[in-house]
Amino acid sequence: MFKRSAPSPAPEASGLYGVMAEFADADTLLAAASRTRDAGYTRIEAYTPIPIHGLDEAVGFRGTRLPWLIFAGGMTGASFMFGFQTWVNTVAYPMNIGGRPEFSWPAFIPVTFEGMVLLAAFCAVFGLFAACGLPRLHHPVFNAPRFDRASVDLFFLCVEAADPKFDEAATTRFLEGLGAQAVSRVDN
Amino acid sequence: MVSELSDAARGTLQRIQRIALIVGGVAALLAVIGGVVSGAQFFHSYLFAYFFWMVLALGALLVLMIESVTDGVWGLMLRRHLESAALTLPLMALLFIPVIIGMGALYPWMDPKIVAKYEVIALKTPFLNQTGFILRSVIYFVLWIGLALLLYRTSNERDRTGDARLRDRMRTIAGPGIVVLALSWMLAATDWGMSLEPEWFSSMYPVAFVAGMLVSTFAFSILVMWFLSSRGLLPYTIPVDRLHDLGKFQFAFIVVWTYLNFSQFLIIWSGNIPEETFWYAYRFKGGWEVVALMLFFGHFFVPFFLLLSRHAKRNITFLTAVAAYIIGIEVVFVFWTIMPAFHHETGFHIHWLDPLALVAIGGLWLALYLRNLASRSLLPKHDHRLALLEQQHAGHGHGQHEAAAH
Repeated sequence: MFKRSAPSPAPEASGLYGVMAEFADADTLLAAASRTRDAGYTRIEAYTPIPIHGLDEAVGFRGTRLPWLIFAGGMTGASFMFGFQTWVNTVAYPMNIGGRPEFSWPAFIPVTFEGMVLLAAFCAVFGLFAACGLPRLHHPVFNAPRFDRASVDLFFLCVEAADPKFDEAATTRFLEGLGAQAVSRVDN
Repeated sequence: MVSELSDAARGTLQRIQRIALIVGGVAALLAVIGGVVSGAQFFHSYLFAYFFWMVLALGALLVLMIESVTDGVWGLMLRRHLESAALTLPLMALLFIPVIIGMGALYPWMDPKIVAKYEVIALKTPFLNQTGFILRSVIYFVLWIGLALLLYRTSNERDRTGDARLRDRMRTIAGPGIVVLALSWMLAATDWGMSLEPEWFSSMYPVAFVAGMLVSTFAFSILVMWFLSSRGLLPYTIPVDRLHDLGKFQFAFIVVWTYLNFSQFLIIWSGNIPEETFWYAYRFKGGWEVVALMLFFGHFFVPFFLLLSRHAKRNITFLTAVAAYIIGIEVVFVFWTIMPAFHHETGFHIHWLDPLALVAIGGLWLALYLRNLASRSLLPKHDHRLALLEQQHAGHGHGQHEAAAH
């Protein structure tokens, strides 16, 4: 929904999701990711146990539209809370508080601020869930051998079958040439 | 990667230093002549200008100490610049002498007639008196200059010996140093600024200036980094992620500034008692309300929305333009905080000595700052973060792509 390229795996007739290359260290993965992208592949994704500087650009990640959703959420929260307090204090239930004007905007600011933070945070968290396709109980990449070690000590690069340039045999050979210690087929 | 300051770089810095010195010197001379003609106005303008540059110098010391207790690569880039700016404090101590000379024209509690008339001021004279004021000011400067010199010497020793334990010594100085600076500044801001209206009190007042220190120091730092890198004087390329760090600090402290100033206003507004509200009342009428609105929009909304986007903070040209604007609006903030104290009845007032004093102190300050900056290499010679800076600057080629793309 918020990703610029659709995240869901296209159900291929063959049931093939893509090929997964396994690397021993971050530098090899980073170089391999750059070269894969340079070779013209567009649907690639990396899985690593630690954040790697520059990897997002190496796999061609162009950012998401999530910040815009959060911004809109923040603005909506702030305007709603400010408007709500204005309506309550001037129209619905005007009260004389220490002789101040009914529209005493300085008193509205803390709640306005809280409304902005609350809605922006909700948009960030639930927007992220939506962008990642969560909740989701399983993903094809978990079918790759040793993939659980992506959160321990191995570095993975997946070229999806949905990539226009994808060809199982050629892509496997290409990835093997990039220093992968193993390349395996990933089924849906 | 780390080398001595190149002759070209030293030449450029020294050329600007000479210009700053000449401009500052001429402006100071004109201001003194103006002072002879216009009397008290000279001291009003002087205190305003002094406050602005003092906040910048102390802000550099504060950020330098924050840099010493943290370990960011951003701090490695700024270290020499911050040391140079903090070492202008001896000049600021010297430039405090006119404030002492002008105390009678500046501080109402100096006037026995006013003290006799207002009991609330009379009750404060055990603290607010000439001897105490001068004595305390001397102590503040001893503490601040002491901290700046200690850090500077340790940094130089580290350059000479390469002893990694000296980094721990800097940390040991800077940790308690931050506390010392914060507490002494509470008193200094009360003495120098808040006591211009001695009936009034707000514990937020000094803190609002601390926010100003952080805002203006990062704005000034961004301008300096932009200048050095655009002239090719830096021995490295600023990694985009590190520029992003400076942008994030700038953005965060704009929000802190707003938070502190609005908190002070909200507390006084809701308390609604005359001995507190008059301070704002004078600043919301007679033309000052236009300046207040300018700050409300110009010191919060404009920089907030300009810096909200990630791309804005990663583009050095854009970030520099915003930083220059922020320095300008910070001047307006100091002006609006200090000057209405002298014009309670007459409303908005600006005099040609105001900008002149700003240029006079600023020229001298910048000249000393540039002299300090040109005296050493732009990066410390030994630092465990140098490898990180080099690695990020090589950036596997990617950081560079992005810098060019935006």
